[in-house]
Amino acid sequence: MLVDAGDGVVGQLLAAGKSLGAIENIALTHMHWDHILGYPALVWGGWSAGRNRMDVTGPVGTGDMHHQLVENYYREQAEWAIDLGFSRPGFDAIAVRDVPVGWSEMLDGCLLEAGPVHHPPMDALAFKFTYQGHNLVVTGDTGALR
Amino acid sequence: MQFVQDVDVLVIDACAVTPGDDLAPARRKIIQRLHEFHASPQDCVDIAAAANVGKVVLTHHLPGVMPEVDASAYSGEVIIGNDLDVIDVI
Repeated sequence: MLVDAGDGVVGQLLAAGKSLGAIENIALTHMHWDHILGYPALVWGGWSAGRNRMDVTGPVGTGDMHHQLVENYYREQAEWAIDLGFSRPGFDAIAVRDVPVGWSEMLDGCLLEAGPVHHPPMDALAFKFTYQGHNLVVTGDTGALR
Repeated sequence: MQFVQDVDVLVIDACAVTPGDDLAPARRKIIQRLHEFHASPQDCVDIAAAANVGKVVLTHHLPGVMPEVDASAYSGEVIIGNDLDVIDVI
């Protein structure tokens, strides 16, 4: 699970020793440039590394971002890559969904929950991960909510 | 606050620093407005203390600015997050 994908995320994942093709779940907190400009690079980098599916979860606007930055601009290049031998599901089976505050889902035994933040004027989320009794919250951007 | 109550680790936006006197006026004005949509480093530590968070990891630093906090009222650990840090969730 990767939370947010700002510029440079592909290089930083490689520097951290991660396999790009193994990243099949992305949670995006909001659509500001410093949280998503690495996303198209990761779509391509992970696909090149053999990824066959991916789930992308974020607030309202996530699906539209994918449509504009990936589908609209890169579809033609993707079809060329598929002709070259890239797997079609690696590009086509990217499931992007907009979720509201309060959304939750179990993922490989980990409970993932979307929580509220304050980052006007953007729709934005925090994410909580709970696994075997331990938990972590990543807020993304937020003003102080007390 | 309820969403982060009692969590082991909170990774939180601490972008809204106090602008230094040496900044250009235009830049200073932008940084002063960050509080409208980002938390300050001290906000983050105060929230961690109030919500009984185990460790608080401050992120979203502006270039060339080191967050400064008074953590005397917080019994947990304050981590100034850096690229490629690995933090245990226990």
